[in-house]
Amino acid sequence: MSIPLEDPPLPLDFLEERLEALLEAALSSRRTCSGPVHQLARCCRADQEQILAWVEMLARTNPELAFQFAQHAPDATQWLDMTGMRQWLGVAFDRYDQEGLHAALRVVKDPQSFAQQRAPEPGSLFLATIVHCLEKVLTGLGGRPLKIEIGEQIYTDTETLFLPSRLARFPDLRQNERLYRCVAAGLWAQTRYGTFFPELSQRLSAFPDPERAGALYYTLENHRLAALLRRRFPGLGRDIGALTRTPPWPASWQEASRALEEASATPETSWRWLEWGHAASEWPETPWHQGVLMMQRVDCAMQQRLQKQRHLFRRMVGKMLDKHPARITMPGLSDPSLLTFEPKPDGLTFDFNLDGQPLTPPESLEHLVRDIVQDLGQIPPEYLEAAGPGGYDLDADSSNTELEVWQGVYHEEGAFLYDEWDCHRQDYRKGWCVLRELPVTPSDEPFVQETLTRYAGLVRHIRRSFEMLRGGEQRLKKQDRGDEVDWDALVEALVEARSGGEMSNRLFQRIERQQRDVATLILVDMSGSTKGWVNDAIRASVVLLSTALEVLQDRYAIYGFSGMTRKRCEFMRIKPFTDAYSVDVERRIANIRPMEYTRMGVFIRHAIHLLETVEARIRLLIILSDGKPEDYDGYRGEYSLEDTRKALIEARQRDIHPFCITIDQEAQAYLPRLYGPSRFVVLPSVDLLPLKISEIYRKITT
Amino acid sequence: MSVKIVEPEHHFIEEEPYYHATGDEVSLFTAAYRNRLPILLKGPTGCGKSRFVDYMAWRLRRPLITVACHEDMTATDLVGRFLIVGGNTVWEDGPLARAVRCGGLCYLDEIVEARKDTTVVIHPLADDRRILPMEKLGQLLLAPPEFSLIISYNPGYQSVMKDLKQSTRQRFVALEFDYPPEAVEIDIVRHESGVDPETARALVTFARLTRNLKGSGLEEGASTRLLVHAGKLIQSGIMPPSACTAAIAQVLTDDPEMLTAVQALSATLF
Ligand SMILES: Nc1ncnc2c1ncn2[C@@H]1O[C@H](COP(=O)(O)OP(=O)(O)OP(=O)(O)O)[C@@H](O)[C@H]1O
Ligand SMILES: [Mg+2]
Repeated sequence: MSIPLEDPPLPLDFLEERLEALLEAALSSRRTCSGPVHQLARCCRADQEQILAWVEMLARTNPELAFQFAQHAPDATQWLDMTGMRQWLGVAFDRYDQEGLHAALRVVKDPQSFAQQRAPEPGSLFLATIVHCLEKVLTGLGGRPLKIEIGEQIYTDTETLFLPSRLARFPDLRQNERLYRCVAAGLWAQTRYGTFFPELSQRLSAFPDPERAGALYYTLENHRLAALLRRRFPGLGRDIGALTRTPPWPASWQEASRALEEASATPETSWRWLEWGHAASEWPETPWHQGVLMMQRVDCAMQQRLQKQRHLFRRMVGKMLDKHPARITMPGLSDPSLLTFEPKPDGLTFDFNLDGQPLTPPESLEHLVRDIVQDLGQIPPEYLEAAGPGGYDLDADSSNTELEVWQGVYHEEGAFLYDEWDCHRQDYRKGWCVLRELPVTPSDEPFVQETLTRYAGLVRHIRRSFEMLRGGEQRLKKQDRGDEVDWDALVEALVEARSGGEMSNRLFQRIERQQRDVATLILVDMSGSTKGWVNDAIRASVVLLSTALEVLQDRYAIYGFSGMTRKRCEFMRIKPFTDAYSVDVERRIANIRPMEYTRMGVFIRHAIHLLETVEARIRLLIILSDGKPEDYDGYRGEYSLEDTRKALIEARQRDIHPFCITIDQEAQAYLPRLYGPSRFVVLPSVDLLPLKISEIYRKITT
Repeated sequence: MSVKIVEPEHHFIEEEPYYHATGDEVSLFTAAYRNRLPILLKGPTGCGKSRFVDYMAWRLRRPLITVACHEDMTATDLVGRFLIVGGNTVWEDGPLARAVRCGGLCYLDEIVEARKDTTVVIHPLADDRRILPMEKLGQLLLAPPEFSLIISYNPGYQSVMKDLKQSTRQRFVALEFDYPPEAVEIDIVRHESGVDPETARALVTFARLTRNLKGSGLEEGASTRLLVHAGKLIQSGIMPPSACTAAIAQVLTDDPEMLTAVQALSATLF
């Protein structure tokens, strides 16, 4: 048995160059090929080459058709195999010839319906249909987070499980779904119970034929894991038994089989039997559903991960120790032996102790320790050695963006991952955007004072008119319960009683605070399109609106947003809900500056997250913008509008009311679709923004 | 059917409640009680806080007065108020005042649900003064040594509004509760529902799988309480998968995808 190795995917810049050349006629300054390039980059090498060949063929027929095909073909591989792809392309060509470009585009833009109409075998189940559910099941099973992707072969590189794009082994959908679970659980068990350890490939290379030895080790390991799964997850074991077939082992391997099925068996057991039997003439076989060993992929993923984990571990421990007050008073605490981990019974969680005292580590560190132990079986002592007099964090080179994104997995330093709605796939891209909250640096420009002076009349008017809206205290009389006796009511009641009537029991009064109970988050567009006087008007509006909000005593927060591509979405903190209005806030408002692009969806999602932490009867999200959601990496047009719309729907589902105030005259065309007919205002000119904004707010909240 | 009515002052727990200690909480509570320190219990829902208080009330032989706090609760509701009876004003003690008078344990469950201005009435009672001012009566109640104040709260809430104020929390001795260790949880489920050890073990494993999903689509994993519920259904003849769906999966989530995932997890075990 030999281990097939796939070629590595084509590099990004190669794809870009190639597509640019092929699609030149369909591109413009407003439309680059970065969308298709990124899509294509996710495919395997064989698919990439085939798709490029097809794009070339189409480009000769019609550039637009070729562009759209390049955009959608990578996704289509989820639902169609190569034969299916060829048929899909054929239908598109037919339509083009008979009905023209538009009909052809309809086919090209919707590979999923084509796949469905193609009526695959009965019971056939696409991975795409159940992938989210399957990911949750894996999370539930525990251990390091795993991704799922489509692969030509069933295998794992220890970070991603590669599964067939569809299963049709059984005529019943439900059985195929259970089969997917069995296959995924098998791969999960390999990552969870120690099949892959760092020295594995090195140890295999001592055999005359390392590949064959690897294959045998893999077979033995899977046998051990199958028994382990049967013991720990009887339901799963039953399913595996019913849905898959494992060929019986040769008679000479029976003793090995029994030994591997023992509860005490470990990867070392498999190793011993590998040494025992690698020269035998007969070997047991790995059944289809257990997949294949891709040693190079495993090595590659594992080496990278170990390096990052080690780096991150030292950093986080260093930080934790820095924060720990004991550090200052007790010299010698940089002695690593004082930080100890005591494994809990499950083997993957730990009690942390610092100098004998129990310590609660941040959750992100706990997860990291879990992941390291899953790979190495322990925290190696050298991980705990202080890297020098400066402590654990020797490596000051933190500009490595890849590392930063990776840290997002551990939620270090406020990185948030948000889904994005992909209207082409009609599905969310999970954890697609990486968002960070950053403070706005305060500016010394006296912008707020100047604004308050310039609009002094308006400010007076706002103070007066909003004062009246403010909720006050109200004395409720004639209540059946209350803090004080309502003497008037009592006298009245006594008179009534004396004259033979029934005495009322509504004799109390109480003070009730009538709270407005509104919480508002103001989201200010800081994208590059809001330059110069537009920026001034926006800043002035923020000043005037905060004046009104201060008078009203509504709870409010102000944030700006900007970003560049999905990996760098920046949420700029001007005033969080928990901060009072202050000179610092004023100085930050003064520094609201145009920055980069508007990737709207992710910012709305984060605003939702923040608003959800505030308890209020009414929660408002006010978006001050020029309205056009647009980002650099293909986030524009239909895609960006649909994602924004979806994010706004999510807000409403959570009882948050979004409202948009904009100065973009073209906004009339798309805002109703995003905000509904009445939840936005388009101002005819920028100068009106500061004048109107408080009034608009009053209307929305009364 | 007959309903037994007891005045809170006489609510002595006579039979030993089943409580399986998971650490040194019993001795900590006892020490705090002897030193007249109020006690704060933190922990996720359904992990045994209320059961623990029942148990301690029994152990210390004091009456237990429990108040479930809610948003509309005012200080008056806790302390007491005037009522009009037959044309005369009569004072009626609230549960807190009653507990102080009879030297009982007063358990304010889910204290963060109460409004902040309500919470502050417990301040003088919770520090070393141990007095309950009754403003309306113009009196001060001095708590006897037997009285103890216990509050509970779940720090897992996302909302900033549901954080306990520092000035409140810094008056208490805090005991942290979490889901019990595996072996203990198995014992609890067996004892409370009567299922066999195998089933109890499977239920507890299942709960652990759902707890891995906390933060990845589930707000909370299955609590010990839900396991007891599922166990009871199984004891009444319901098949384990249906019992897990009804008592656990459906209770945890409404999201269809999540529901399928949680059911798939129970199917790996049953
Ligand atoms: N340590 C324990 N010993 C005995 N029973 C327990 C224990 N922990 C949990 N239980 C069981 O779990 C159930 C729920 O516990 P309890 O009502 O005390 O939860 P709680 O922490 O007060 O939850 P909540 O915060 O929702 O009020 C109990 O009825 C009991 O059956
Ligand atoms: Mg309780």
